[in-house]
Amino acid sequence: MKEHVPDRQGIAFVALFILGNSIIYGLAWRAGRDLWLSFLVATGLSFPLILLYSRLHSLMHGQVFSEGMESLFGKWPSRIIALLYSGYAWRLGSYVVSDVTNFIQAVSLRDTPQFATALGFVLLVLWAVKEGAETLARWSSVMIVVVGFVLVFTLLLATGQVDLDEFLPVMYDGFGPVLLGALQIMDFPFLETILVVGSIGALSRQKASYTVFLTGFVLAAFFLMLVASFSLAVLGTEKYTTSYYPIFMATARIDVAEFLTRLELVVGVIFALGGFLKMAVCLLAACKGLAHTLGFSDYRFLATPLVLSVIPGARWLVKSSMEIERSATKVFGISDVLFQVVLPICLWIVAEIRISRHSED
Amino acid sequence: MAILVILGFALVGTVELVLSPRRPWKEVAAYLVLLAVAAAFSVMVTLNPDLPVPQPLGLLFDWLKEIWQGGL
Amino acid sequence: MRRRLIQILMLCLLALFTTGCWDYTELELLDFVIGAGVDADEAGIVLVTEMAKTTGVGQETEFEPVVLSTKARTLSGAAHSLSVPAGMEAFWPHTQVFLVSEEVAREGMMAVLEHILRAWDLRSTMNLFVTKGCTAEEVLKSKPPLAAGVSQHLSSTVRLGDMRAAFVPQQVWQFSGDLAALGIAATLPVVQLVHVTGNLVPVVRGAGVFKKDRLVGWLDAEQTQIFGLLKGEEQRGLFVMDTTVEGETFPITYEFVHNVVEIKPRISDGNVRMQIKLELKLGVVAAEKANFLDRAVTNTVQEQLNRAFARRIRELLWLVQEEYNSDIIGFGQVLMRKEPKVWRSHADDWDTHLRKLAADIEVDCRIIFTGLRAEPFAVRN
Repeated sequence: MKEHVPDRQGIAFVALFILGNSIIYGLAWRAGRDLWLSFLVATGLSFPLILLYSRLHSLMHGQVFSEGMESLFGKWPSRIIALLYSGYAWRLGSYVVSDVTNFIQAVSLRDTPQFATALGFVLLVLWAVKEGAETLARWSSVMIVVVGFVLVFTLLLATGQVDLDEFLPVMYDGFGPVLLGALQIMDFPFLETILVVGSIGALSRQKASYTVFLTGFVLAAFFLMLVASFSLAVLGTEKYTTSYYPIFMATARIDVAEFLTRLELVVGVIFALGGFLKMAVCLLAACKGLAHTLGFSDYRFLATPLVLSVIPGARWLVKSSMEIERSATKVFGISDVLFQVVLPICLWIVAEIRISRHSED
Repeated sequence: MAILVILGFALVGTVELVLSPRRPWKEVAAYLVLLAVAAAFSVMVTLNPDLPVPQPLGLLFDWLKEIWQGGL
Repeated sequence: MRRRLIQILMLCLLALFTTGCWDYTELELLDFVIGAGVDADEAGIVLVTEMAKTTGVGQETEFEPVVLSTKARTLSGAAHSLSVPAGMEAFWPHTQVFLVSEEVAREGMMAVLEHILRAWDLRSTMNLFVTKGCTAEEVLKSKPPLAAGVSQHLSSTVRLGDMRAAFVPQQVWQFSGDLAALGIAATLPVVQLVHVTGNLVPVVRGAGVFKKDRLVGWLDAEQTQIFGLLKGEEQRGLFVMDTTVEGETFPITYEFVHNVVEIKPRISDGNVRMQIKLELKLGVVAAEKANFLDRAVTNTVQEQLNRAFARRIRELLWLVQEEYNSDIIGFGQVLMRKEPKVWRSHADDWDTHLRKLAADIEVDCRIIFTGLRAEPFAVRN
């Protein structure tokens, strides 16, 4: 079944995927008051890799995922790669599920078992995965407007609370923390974009991959930087670096004439929307990968077991809210480096060589 | 609880198989195997919440940690 | 048809999940905490809460404050055991004020603050106070003349804060931010009980000075006014000052209209000097004799104001630098932001440097309005 995603929807898809569940965490907290620099550095460092992802994606243009993989890497190697990425995607999906359920438990539904909140999300995700990337992209193009509008509106309301002096002095502790902060955000969420390559399917033109990935990435990076800097300027360095959910605490401070308060709920909604998309994309990639490994061209029938298994998966991988925080803000994870940097580079090199051989033949 | 989980998976499996418009045996087999794996996994996690997570890359990580003494 | 039937069944099944039974709360089982306070006790701490008891229904609903107290080793323990005397679940998110008794504050605020910052149901926009000469329980049990309860009384006083200029309000996030930041120390507004026509009424006046998380001293209302000006707090209050005009000294009542402060570090030969520039725009509310249409009069009055404010600033600085040795104005923070290199060499021993820190004070007072009259009202035979 061929998918068709227009550019604009693709951009929204990528951007919302990156914003997804990351927006509420203390991104780049290691950089402290220099986090805006970290974002610039991370954007700069991630750019070539995102470019590489787009190249990989554009090489598969016009083919379904499994066909594309096979033509690029051969039958068996492509199956192994697909299995590896499927595992990675499933793992990330489980993490996102526990992110969302832990957040909901921490801020509002304290007695509700995480299983119950997870089930609600997972059933929706199951539906979304069965509908496929096309539907998700359309959904994102609508939702990105909502998310963008709400974010901008909230930030505007909070401008009164912002203290720009919080950013001074610049680089007091040197470049080290800035780099660590940059690595934190590259690992999560910037380079997780690799999963979009496997999930989104055909775009309108071959060149569209570049437009979609790069624009979506830059858009999301910019928004994240804005939100993180804003939270830091409202909360101060110390609070930002020690809170689980800084943006949540920052918006809790919004008070328009003692009339408009408790806007933190809005952030929760954004997080739920983004978290949903991220789960869906991860599981879409996992299903497509697994289907290819098993040699099926359609992935939909695999969705139910894979999607349902993220509920125990979330519980298995994450046992406390401290673990979530650790995984969300770690400087680098060995598996992440492997799946986000090392493997994609190898794959790209192999793909380029094979393509040039094909064209010589 | 474990029985409930198994029943849940069985129910989902039956409903989905009954509803699916076409059922090539290969797909059905793969589906059933996967569903069984998922159910088994769920039961294992339910029965033992502290089920260890395998770290296939753990060795590599330990080795890297030894090289990088900076502490992250 | 079969498909449709199963869809309907599924929807019914889903409906089961939408009720949210786990976190369902019965409103009748909740009691709203509107204010709380902490006193010291040999065994640990005493948590005193003012809760809103509701009587009547619909339009006739009335809130009546009820004060309860619980003892425990920690604040969180006390907060939890509050349900025992209350017989209901204490609902914290609407808490407006939080009082800390002098004794607790002298022991260190961490015992209290740690719980407040970590708890999910306490908002960081709560107003914090320290009590002076009385316990938090005494304050919460006092009878404010007009408000329905002490918490309401205190929070409306804070809202009027810029009319009073006698205290600098601190919400939880501000106080904890100052505790956590480098080169700045925290303060809290002070609550005292004052006799008003036979009743003890809580009054917010002055500031408690902290060093790290411990209370080390007090500022009175006058000093707090200067402190507020140096912190750049918007002040809208009145003050009376004896002013000499054309050889005669009499009190004039002034009003703050606008205030701006600028604090900049200046480094010369490795020595740090703080340049404090305070700009005040004032109004004259009552002046028996001075004629402000006369430029010379305005100038001499402004001169006297400049000198008086410079003197008061110097007095406050002495108190802060020498007596309490606590950087409540945040000179260290200014230095760090403007001159990070200098701060780096001073940071470890900031307390000592603070003592020696010299300040250049420049005050610029302008009288910009004089009510409806420029000249004094003349009484003739």
